[in-house]
Amino acid sequence: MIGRVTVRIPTPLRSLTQGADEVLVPGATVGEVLHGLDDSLLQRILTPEREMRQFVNIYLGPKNVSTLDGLATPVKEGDVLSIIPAVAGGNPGQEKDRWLQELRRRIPAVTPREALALQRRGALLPDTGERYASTGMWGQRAEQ
Amino acid sequence: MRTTESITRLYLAPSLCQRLKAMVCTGYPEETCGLLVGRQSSLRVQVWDLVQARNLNRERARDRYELDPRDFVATDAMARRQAMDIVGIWHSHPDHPARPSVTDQAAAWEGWSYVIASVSRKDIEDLRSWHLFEDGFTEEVIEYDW
Repeated sequence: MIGRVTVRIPTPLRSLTQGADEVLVPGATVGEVLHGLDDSLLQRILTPEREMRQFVNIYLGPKNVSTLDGLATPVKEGDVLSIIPAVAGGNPGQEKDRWLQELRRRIPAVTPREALALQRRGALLPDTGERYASTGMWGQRAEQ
Repeated sequence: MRTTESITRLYLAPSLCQRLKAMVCTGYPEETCGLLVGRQSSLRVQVWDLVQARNLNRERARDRYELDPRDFVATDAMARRQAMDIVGIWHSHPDHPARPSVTDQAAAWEGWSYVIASVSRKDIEDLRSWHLFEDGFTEEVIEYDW
């Protein structure tokens, strides 16, 4: 006999279940239960190749089904499946700082006279407004 | 640009702010993260509890977080027992502004509030909340006194 499994829906996906926070779906395996969900919801969980999407985890009770038998994991009446959105992020600041430092290191310092000479030879030198009073140099900070 | 009437308001009691401050300052200089538990209606997010979660990204814990899904499962079960929901995510930006980064936006989900605390070695410098819509993040109003 195929049991009915409770599927818990996280807040961001409830627009796909008409606001329901959980739905009851029959099935003998995790995959069968998921395929019993509405198509729009299923597409957020599985790829067209029927593999788990990277940004979603499925838990059977307290266990990630990827550590069990994946979609083939058997389920029974009364089990609870939770759809868990991957939660991640971060601060790009340090990465950006490192990138800017590297970029500045690569830009050679030139005096205004050298800049004019380069321009006469066809170089395009955008004016960034970064002139350092202590050296009269343009571009890289000579005092660093 | 959203009108004032369409901006969500996040209600965060002063006692919860103090707990958040303690968690992000203790975690400095690493990022700390966790979940907001409460109730949500169309334009109102009421936070009743804050839960800290483990950051699985140990290699880049200073500028990345990856919330442990086991903490999500446990918090979700606790919230449902109290007829509440996970209504959002909080995390810190050590020495950087309390604004969503490109990384935050790439991994965000519509429908949740994202509280970001800018934290320095000394203290919380800024606290802001954001809500993701189809066209990107919009800042929410945080109501502290209610």
